Amino acid sequence: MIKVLLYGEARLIFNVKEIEEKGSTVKELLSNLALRYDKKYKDLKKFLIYVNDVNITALRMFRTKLNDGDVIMMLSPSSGG
Amino acid sequence: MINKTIAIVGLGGLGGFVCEYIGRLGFEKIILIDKDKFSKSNINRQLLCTTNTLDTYKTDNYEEKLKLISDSKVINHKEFITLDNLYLLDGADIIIDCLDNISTRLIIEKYASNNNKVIIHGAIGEKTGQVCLCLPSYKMLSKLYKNTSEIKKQTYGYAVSLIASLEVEVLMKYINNDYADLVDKVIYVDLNDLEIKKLKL
Amino acid sequence: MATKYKSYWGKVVKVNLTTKEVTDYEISDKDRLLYLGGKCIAAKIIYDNIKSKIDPLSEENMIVISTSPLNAVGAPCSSRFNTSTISPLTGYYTSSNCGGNFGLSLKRAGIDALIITGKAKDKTYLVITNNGIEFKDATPYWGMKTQEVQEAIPDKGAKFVIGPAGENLVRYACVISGERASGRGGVGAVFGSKNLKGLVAFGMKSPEVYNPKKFHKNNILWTKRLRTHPTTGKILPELGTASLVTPMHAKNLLATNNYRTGKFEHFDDVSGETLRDEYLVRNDGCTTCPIRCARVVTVDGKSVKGPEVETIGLFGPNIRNNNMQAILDWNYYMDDLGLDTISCGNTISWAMEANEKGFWKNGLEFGKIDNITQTLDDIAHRKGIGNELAEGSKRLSEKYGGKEFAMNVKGMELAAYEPRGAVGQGLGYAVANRGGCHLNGGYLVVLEGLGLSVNPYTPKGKAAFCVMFQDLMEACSAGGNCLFTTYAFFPSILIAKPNSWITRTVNKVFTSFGGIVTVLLKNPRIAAIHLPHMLPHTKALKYATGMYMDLGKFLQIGERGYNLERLIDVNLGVSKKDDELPLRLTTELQIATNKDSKVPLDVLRAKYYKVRGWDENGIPTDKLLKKLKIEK
Repeated sequence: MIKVLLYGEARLIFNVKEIEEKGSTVKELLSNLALRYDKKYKDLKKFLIYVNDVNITALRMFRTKLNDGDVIMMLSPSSGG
Repeated sequence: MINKTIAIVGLGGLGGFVCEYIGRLGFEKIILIDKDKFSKSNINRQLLCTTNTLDTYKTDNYEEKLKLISDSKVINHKEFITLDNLYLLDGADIIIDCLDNISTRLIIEKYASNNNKVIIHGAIGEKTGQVCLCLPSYKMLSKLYKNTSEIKKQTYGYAVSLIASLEVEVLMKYINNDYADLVDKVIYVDLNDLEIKKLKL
Repeated sequence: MATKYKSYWGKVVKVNLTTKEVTDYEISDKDRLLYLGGKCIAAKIIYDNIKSKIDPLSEENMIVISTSPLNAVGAPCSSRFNTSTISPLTGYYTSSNCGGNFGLSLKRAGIDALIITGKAKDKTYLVITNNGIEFKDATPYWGMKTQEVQEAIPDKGAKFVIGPAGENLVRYACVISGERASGRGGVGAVFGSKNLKGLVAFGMKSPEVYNPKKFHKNNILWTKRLRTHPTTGKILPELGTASLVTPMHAKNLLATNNYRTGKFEHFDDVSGETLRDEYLVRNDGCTTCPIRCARVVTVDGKSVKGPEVETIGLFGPNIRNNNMQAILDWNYYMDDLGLDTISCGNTISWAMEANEKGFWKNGLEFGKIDNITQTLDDIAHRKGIGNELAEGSKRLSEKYGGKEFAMNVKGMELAAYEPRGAVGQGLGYAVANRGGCHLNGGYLVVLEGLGLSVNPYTPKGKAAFCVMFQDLMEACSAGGNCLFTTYAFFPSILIAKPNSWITRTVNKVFTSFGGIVTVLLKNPRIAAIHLPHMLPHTKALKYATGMYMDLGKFLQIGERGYNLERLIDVNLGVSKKDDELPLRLTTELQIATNKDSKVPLDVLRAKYYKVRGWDENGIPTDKLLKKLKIEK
């Protein structure tokens, strides 16, 4: 199981702070989340996604492999001032 | 007196507090850029917005305040930054991003990259926000906002003040050459959980 | 000498300082019709009298101070008067325009123009009244600065005086009327070389106008137009010419670091907005002017005249100074000493670069401002390095090297507009009759970014508009008006709404109109109309003088005057080789990534000669002179 921590906009979408979900890659995990919570996969792709405190842009993006115990963070940057 | 010129772009929630803090630190010159006047909806978070200052220019108010708390030279431009007036930033050593939208941020990032200027970025959502140091060659803001759309959110005075304080701290670290640990990193703030995280972008 | 035209006295007086003779000088009505007044009639007088090279600082030189029909009869913006001579800076014809009260007083004293020849044996000043001209001893006043001497001279009236700079023959010394200058070309040195400290004029008369009712009505409309136009009614009174600093920086036109770039990062410390917000006491203006663009600022505790944009540019960004108070101080000191701020600033910036590059060790450095005040004083008194700086950037660069960055044309230094950001302005600098002048050159920056915003880098259309603006401004000055009245030529919407679709379209297509403009210029009868909203001058002149006047005739007067000036210069040796720009402007890119950011002078100049009707060597052809009724 992968721990998914939700912040900002992501937290508002799912209405919860933390979720446990399955997935062998980031793509798979997001698809599972989308299915479970009746969301669109392409909307979930928009967030900043960190795996164990590393941005997936520095890993293999959505093909990044996930292991049991990994922690994913989904963040959305604010834009107000 | 810190021998630098700081441009504060946007004198709304963030800009107001940034201005206050920077004013009290003592910089040689401060450039204020905002075309707006105070309106009623600003009262909940904008430092100098009071019932007395409604419908007056934000930059005029902050210039006046700066004159009372510092010896800084203040230049006041009642403009919104667009592609046509980026030259207003030519005199700045460091640009403090206190804007309320993404597109202007991206315009300024391109300009800063072409002109070797540093941006201190700050932004706030409802109770979350982030701050980061943008060095000229790093496209921090383009990366940060890659898939984000503009969302207007209500926020709080104490939340903007926190982000503003962090922006100023990042500014001071940059000025004191103590910013190695800030390169390519974003400081995420979440007041809901009372957490501050520093993560590589 | 009588004249059938109104608004003139029909009296031109010649004063021989050597013999103390005062005689009448004949000007025919034919010449009045052809040349109007001001700089054009002065050109005629000088052309008739000086046909070959002379030493401008010798007795052989002549000064012509000429008024215009619209002076002292009630038109708006009509204080301007002209002083012409052969320039000690260039060796060529120069005409210098001034808005101080002397011209009005000279006209009220019953004189259209004053010619001064010879050299006084003793230090002299002249007093001109309705009763005649007196020669008075200027010994007690010799050495005084311009503000003090105007107070000290006891004779009633408006004064026109030199300061120490003119007395010491500084090649760019000016003459001061009140707080305004007959700035460029070194006219002050010519006064000094004749032992002439200055002139006082007092009079109580005004000439009649031809059709008082219509003249007055036109003046009311004219004043209203000036008051409601965005440039003359808002920007100039609020910010003065200093309003140009910010747009010049935005458009790469702000000469910085001796014309090495067109932007100055601290432009906003010396902008018109900063001047207004932090230094302005109030605005001010010449007598008769509704625009009131002059600044009043505080220097050494006194309220004095503030700087124009050229002074701000050349003593600000061009020497890398962002201290506004210093500029205000120096501007006042230069007026007081009687120095042309433009040539002075540009000579100093040349000297700074020469120092930086090791051509000449002189202690002047970019951004170093603590020795400038002393330097100005030294220039006026020809002390130390001041004695060398007093010679101007051309002579200095010939002595020490560094000609490629001596920013002058024909010896007269350029104004603060960096022409690699506006190539049409570059053409203007190169061909202007009195040397590197932004106004005599046609002031094309008003099209290329500071009013309209046509493509500043293309040569297309620029030559034709250069000729048209040169002629227009020549005629405007000949009539007696301030050049700022020509700003109202541009429809308000183009200025007030730079981003409207109309303005953007105009900017796009404007340079394509060069051909049409050329046709108009060559066939002035097409323009046998008035455009009273855009150019009230033509109706004003018609109703004031009784002459036939229309837009075409007006432009042709300008064309004639301009060509006559050129002819004087040709007689003194000018040709294509002198219509050049410093190499920096034609060969070095202002912006490394913009291959068009240098002045394509060859192309522009060739087209200019064609439109002017000159031969390839820049000499007006006989055919043209015949058409213009100029006798060779």
